[in-house]
Parts: sequence; C-alpha cells; structure tokens
Amino acid sequence: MSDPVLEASGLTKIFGRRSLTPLSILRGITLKAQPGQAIGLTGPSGVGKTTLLSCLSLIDLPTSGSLRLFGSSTHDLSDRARSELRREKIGFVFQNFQLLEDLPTWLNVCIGQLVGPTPLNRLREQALKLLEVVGMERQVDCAVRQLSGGEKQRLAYTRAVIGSPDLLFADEPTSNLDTTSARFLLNQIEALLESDVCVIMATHDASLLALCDHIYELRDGTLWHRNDSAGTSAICLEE
Amino acid sequence: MTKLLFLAALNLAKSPGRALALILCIGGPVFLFISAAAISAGISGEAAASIESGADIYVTRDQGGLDANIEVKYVDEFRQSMSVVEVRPRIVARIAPAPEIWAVLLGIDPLTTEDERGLQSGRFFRAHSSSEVVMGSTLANRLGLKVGSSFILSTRTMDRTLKVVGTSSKSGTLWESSVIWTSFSLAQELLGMTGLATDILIQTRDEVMANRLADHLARSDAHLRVQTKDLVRRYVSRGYAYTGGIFSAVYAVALALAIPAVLVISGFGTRERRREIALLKVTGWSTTHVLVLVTLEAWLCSLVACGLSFLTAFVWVRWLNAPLLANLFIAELEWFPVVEIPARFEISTLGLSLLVCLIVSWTGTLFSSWRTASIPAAEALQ
Repeated sequence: MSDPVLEASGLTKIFGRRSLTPLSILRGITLKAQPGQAIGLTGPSGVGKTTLLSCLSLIDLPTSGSLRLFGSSTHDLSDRARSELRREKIGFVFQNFQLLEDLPTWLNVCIGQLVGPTPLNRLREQALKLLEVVGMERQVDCAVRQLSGGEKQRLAYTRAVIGSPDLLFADEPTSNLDTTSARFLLNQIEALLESDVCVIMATHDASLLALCDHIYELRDGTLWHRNDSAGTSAICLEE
Repeated sequence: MTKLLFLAALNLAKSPGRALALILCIGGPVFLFISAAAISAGISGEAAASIESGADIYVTRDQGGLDANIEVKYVDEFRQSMSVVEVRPRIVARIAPAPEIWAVLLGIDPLTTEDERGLQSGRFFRAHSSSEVVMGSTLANRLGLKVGSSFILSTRTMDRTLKVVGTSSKSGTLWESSVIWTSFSLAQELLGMTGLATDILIQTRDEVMANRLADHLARSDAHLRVQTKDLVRRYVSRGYAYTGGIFSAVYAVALALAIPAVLVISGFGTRERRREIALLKVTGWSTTHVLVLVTLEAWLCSLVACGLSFLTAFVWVRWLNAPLLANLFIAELEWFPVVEIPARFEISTLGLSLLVCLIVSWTGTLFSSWRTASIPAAEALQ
C-alpha cells in the first residue's frame, strides 16, 4: 500500500477561544487518505464540514492536533512552503465558487499559477485547454459575473485542477448545479480518481457518495465512519 | 513580476472609481508640492540672477543696525577708491500710484551700456528728465497706461504729472513688473530726498577686490553699512530656506492628512479586498506575493498620480499662470495674476514627488493588506 497523502490526528478547532462562550467545532478528528481514494464527509449543515476541509487543506489553522500531508508534518511549515503546497499539490472547490468576479474567466483559472514559473501566455493556453474540456471555450474572456451558476462551478473546478493536484477538496460541489452539470462534475471526479488523485468531499449527493471508498459523518465535532453510503451503521473514529 | 504587474494593472482597471479616488487623494497634495516647488525655484532663480547682475557692493547709512538713507556726497568719495568701475546712487521706495495699488519707485540713471531691447515698448527716459518714466508692464496694465500716457503721481511732498516713455518686458522679473523707473534726480524730487539716496551701488573689477573694498569702507567710516554681493546671496538663500521650512511644515500636514485619506479610500470595498487576498492565498499565493502585488498596484497608482500632478502643475503654472495658487506663495499678488509667474520645473522635483506618492500610497495600503494576508484564508473569507 502506498504512503498516505493525508494523515490527521487529534485535530481540534475552537472558535472564540478568548470569549466567554468558546465554540468547539472539531473535537479530535483523526483521518487518513490514500492516493486515488475518495472520501466523503456528510453531516447536517453547520456541523463543521467546511471547517474540517479548510483545516485539512491548509486554508485554516486547527487549534490543536497534527496534520501530515504527503508524508510531512505541516505544523512548522513556513507561509511560503504552505503556499507552494497549496499551489502545486492541493486543489479546492468551494461550495459558493469563491471566484474573482471582475476578472476574466481564463485568469480565474490560472490565478494561483501567476506566482509560479510558467509564463503568462503558456498559462493562458493551459487555461484555454481546460476550459475547452469543461465546455466553456466561448466564455474564456468573459468576466466571471456574467457566468451562470453551473458555469461558475465548472470554472471553480477548473481552477482547482489546473496545477494537477494530488489532493482535491470539494465542498458540496454539486449543491448549486442542475442535473447535467452535476453529472459532468461527477465524471470529472471519477477521471481524477482513476489518475490516482485523492478526493475528499463534503457532500449529500448520493451519486458522489457512491464514488467514495470511505464515508464519514461529522457529528458533534467527531467523525463517524459509515460502512455504506446508505449510512446504516457508524463507528466513531476517535474510539 | 510581469504577471503580477499585469494583474495589478487589471485590478486598478476593474475598479476605476476607487483607483481615481486614490489617484486624486495622492495627487492633490503632490500637485501643490510640484507647483510650489516650481514657483519657489523660479523666484529663487530670478533673485539669484538679479544678485549676479547687480552691484558688487551696496552702501547705506547705519542707523542702529538698520539701513538708512545715505548722503550722495559719498559717491565722489567712493569713485576715488581703487578698482572701482562704477558708482551709482539709487532710490528705492514703496509708493501707491493709485488707491490699493502698490509699486516700487526706482530712481537710478541707466548705464550707457543698458539695452533698450529689454523694454517691451518705448525707450529709456532721458538723463535728468523731470517727468519721464519707464513703467513695469503689469503695473501699466493695472493703471490703464501705455507708452505716451501721462498720469499724476502724488507723494508726501508733491503731485507731479509723469509721462510713460517705455514699459518693461512682461517676461521680466516679478519685481520689474511693478516698478516705476525714473532718473535718480526725479526720484529725489518726488520723495523730497535732496542730497540723499537710499543706497549707493559700487561696481568693482572683481569680487575679491569688492570684498577688500567693502572691508576698507566699513573700517574707514563706522556710520556706513556695507553689504557685498556675497552677503546678499547669503541673506537671500537664508530667506528662501526659511520660506521653504514654513512650506515644508505646511506640506507635512497635508501629507499627514493624505495618508489616512488613502487608508479610508482603500477601505472602500475592504470586504471585497479581503476576499480577493484570501482567494489568492487559497490558490497558492504567499503573503510576500500578495504584498508584491499591492506594492505594484501602489506603484502604478503613484506613477499615474505623480505624472498627472506634474502635468497639471505644469499647465496650471506655466500656461495658466498659477491662478488661485501663486498668491499663496507671493505676497500682494492677485488671485489671477497678470504678471508672468516665474517657475522652474526640475527633474529632482519630479523624483521627489514620485517618492512622496509612493510613501503615501504604500503607507495607506501595505499594512492593511499584510494584516489580511497574514491571517488564515478561511478567516478572511468569512
């Protein structure tokens, strides 16, 4: 078995630690993910799925616990090293797209790569190819605010994969999509899994969960493993 | 760097309102700075030119450390001194040829070598003429006079009808523009200064001789107040340094106000800016990259602000003659000056202005951007 791309152990996240009523969102999360694996996170709204994905993808800092990505601890990583990791090995698809609305579509795709070594014209070419794959070749120079919800989601996905990541996080990727767009995204994720990319997604979409090797439910800040996507039995990972 | 510069330009172009407000905020004080510096350099240049073309020694009577009128009899005495080329008595006085209009009465005989081509029109007055004057073109305009016109000049001692025989060039110095130039004897008559001059001008062979002669004169008569060209130079430069100091203090206040203004304007859309920075971080930008982008944006803003300020100042001062501005720096000038305002635009001023623009824009934007880029992206995205 190959080395895990992600190993989280005892992750906690407490909001408002200095306030009178601190809110403990994550309480000792332990999780391991291998290359080519799909991991699904479920749970009711507001339970902390996005927070967990943010902590795992280095977008947020956990309050305590350890996180190893690609075999290395992330605890002592400098800002620069974290940025490089995010740019070169990690992709993130947000639930509400999080795009730069005033910039053209192609630039949104390669915005992260602007600080890399590839020249601008090459980046544009790469972006065009990817946009062609997702059927958005006509919207290349459009401002993002002119795109529909489905197009924005495809664009967000394209931005996440332009760096050929080894680890992709997706937060409710199909929640704002129509059936055709959702099916399209499903196919794309399937293709990523075949090329050994590890995908961790928070979703309630049964068709996406069907792709997952492991499904966990986040409840009261802890992760519970579900043996199947129907969720008949659960094992608390903490225990 | 090219890629970041491209994005910086795009960021400014996508919110033109904010960029324009920023540019105006930075460029406003800089426009004032460039205009003031140009006018100041122009006046200082004129003063320096006047000193250089003036006499080597100025002699007056000493009255408790101040200048007082001097007897004309000294003229012959000074002429006897070694190395003296020319000695001319002069009268300089402030008069009012019309209510609320002030002018300088200059009574000095022109040198035979003096060129009439320096006049805008007409000719010099005849030696010992009792009514002919040359008038500064601005003053002549204000009084509605031209060559050949007559006017009555009232002084404390008499009313005298004078005739304008020439007007000085419009492009002459500020001082020349409001002067009434008469023969020395006529000025004496007008001011009732028989046998007196306000000062005596001595021209020597060279400056070294002038210094020696000045020492000699000061030692030989304790009632004389002797000032060399070198001394006048120092007085003038000290005067400009003092004026410059006051201006710098006022300017520092303007700058101090510009920085928070930039902060406030950059704050328009703070939430959007925070989100942008967070998204850049999410996609793999480091804090340093974000700061480089913000620096480039500030740099572009500064370049545009500085360029526009310099251009506006140039048009305002050179072409429009510094309306509403020149009288802040030159006493007793109208809001819309008729006299040509001296101005000198220097590369060093442009460089300094760019530096000021950069300081204002960086101070106003770097810290807030650094703070946003330093916190976890998830926090900034909320």
